[in-house]
Amino acid sequence: MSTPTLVPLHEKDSFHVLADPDGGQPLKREGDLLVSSSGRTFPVVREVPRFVSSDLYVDSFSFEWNTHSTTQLDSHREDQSSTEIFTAKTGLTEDDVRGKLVLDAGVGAGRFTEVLSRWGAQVVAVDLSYAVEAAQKNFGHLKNVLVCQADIGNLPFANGTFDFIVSIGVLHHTPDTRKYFARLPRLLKPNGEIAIWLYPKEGDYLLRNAWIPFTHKIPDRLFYRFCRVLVRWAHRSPDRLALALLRRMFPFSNQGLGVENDVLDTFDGYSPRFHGIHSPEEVTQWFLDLGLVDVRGLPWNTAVRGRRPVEG
Amino acid sequence: MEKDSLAKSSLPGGPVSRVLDFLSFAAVSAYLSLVLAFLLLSGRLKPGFSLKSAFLSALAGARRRRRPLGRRRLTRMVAEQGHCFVSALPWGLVSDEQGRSRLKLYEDGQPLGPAHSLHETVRLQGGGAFSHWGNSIYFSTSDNRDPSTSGRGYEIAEEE
Repeated sequence: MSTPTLVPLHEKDSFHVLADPDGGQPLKREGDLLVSSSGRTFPVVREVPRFVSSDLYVDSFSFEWNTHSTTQLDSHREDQSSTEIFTAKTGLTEDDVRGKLVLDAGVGAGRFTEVLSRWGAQVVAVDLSYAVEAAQKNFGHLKNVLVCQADIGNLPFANGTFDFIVSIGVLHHTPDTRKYFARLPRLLKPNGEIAIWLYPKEGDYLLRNAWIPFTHKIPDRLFYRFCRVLVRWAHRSPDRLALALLRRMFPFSNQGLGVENDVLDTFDGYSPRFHGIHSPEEVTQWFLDLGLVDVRGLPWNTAVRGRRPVEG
Repeated sequence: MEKDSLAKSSLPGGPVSRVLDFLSFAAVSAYLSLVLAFLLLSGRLKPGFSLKSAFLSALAGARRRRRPLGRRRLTRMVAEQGHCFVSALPWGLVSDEQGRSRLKLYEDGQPLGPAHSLHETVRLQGGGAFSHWGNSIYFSTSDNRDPSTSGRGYEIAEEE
């Protein structure tokens, strides 16, 4: 693996890891703007560099993560649930990432960025949605975390920037999962690794796929209130036969991590505009098609990891 | 940009919000009922639901009037993910999907647990954790060895 990045991320006057998303030119900070040598400028709002002018098709995530900005954080839950999920879905450990530059592609409120930060990684946390407000509020004070708002399809980094890229439960919410995934490996340094997890083509995910074209059109606040009543009812009366029958057609969350988590997860399951489902074989083939090596499935279904080879 | 992001802040609580919650629930339920009818009639939704399963679920709902399941040996045990193995169970038992399972799991006569575990916990930690979900038991062994090759016997029973 390449030498760890030694320059702390939190040099706000330089944002040295960022580059013009189109030309790759380095960016220089001038006041509340990042200026590219091409003349393009990008605003820095509340110390978050912005490379998009809106949250485009992910408004439900903007709402969701600002409403539940701490629900899934280990520090808030006082457990290790996000750490365990991160380890299972990426196979990465503290020793792997300590001192390394890691891209968290699709940060949300930052449950996995928190794990990486705690493990001593230098984390660049990106999201297209206004979830970056929640992530910045949670982690903006940390020296090893940089949050920015950008599109995974057009990220503001030069090729060969990162030691690791993780994207857990994110790419299936883009318009074309494979196409957006294909834009990530070039950002890895030679020998850098990428780990992703996508919705599998099975079980509840299949059922939800039928609902999504209809549920994503419901206004976020209206649907969130629906989820809040439904899940609280289910928690109060878990023995009801009606709930068991309903779950067979409209599966909703029951992860054993509390009501708030289940409200969040149920909303999360039905509100996004895009909801791709994929088989592990399909995802593994994407890695191979892009020339990644050491491609391996992880114990969690559709969690796949691979390495960018050393070129030449 | 700031205006947009501030507009997406969290919902307030309180009694007015509760009323709005229930009005929203009624409105969305009505809409989703129509969507459900469309999905079922068009064949786009295949939830594996049938009159047979409804009947069996109804039987499960009447579990208090039914004698609990006595000890029964698990035969076919298939590796799922991580430390988790899965085995099919008799129909009509109340699982944690429907309510509160009363299933116990034994390894060579010794009870395993904890029951009602998250599948993630079973997969990642194992150590005897198990979950009764639907018509299957998702379980791990005390030392995370493969139950089909370890030579040990695995039994289930419902508590009285």
